[in-house]
Amino acid sequence: MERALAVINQLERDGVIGRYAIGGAVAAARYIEPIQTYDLDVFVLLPASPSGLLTITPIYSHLMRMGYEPTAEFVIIEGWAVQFLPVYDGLTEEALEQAIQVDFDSTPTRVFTAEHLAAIMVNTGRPKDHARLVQFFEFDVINQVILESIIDRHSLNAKWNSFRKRFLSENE
Amino acid sequence: MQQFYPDISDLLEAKARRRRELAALTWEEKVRIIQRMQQLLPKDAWQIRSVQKSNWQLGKSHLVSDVVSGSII
Repeated sequence: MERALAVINQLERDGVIGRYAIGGAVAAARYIEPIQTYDLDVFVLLPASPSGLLTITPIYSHLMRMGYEPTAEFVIIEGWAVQFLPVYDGLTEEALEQAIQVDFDSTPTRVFTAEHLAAIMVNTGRPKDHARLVQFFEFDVINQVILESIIDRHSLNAKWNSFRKRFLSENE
Repeated sequence: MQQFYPDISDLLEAKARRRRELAALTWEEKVRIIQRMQQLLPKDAWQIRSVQKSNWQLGKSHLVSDVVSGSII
């Protein structure tokens, strides 16, 4: 993955993408046990095009010039199926802003915090998100005060309370 | 006749311990495990997955209008 991250860092340096951070299962694996996943989710701020539209076409064009071919919604970069996801709401935008700087081996990168990943899972709410979120609590990697401030800020209280009642055995 | 079942609490505890050990590995070590898991999958497994993921994202993303290779990004 280090080589793929080096390519993504190059995209950022070249201005093809704005700030980026890793989310999804690969980010979650930083906090809990390894998770089977097919791809590397990279959340990005997209530079606005001259027309003001946010588009990922320049990323794909640039990567194709570098010899990396898009397939479906992925680009295979150094063996990883990388999916570039523009921040799509206030929560993912904040997650990207507050992503932590880490090194993967010797390559710098950014990864979402455990609390932002948890809030995104609360929001998305698929069965696999709930299962993964339970693991975050099982491995005690969540600062619940921080998580609940995020939940509050992004109006996810109803979904959070539903999750808590169902999976954390808490009575309201 | 009373049925006796084996006590598997030791097995369950060993599994739980193994999970804790896996969670305590470095991120790099965990990603290498993920990569090994990927190698065990059929070669086109991620492509099948991509269709499922696209369908999910149809309802999620409203910022991006690009279409690449026939799939909405």
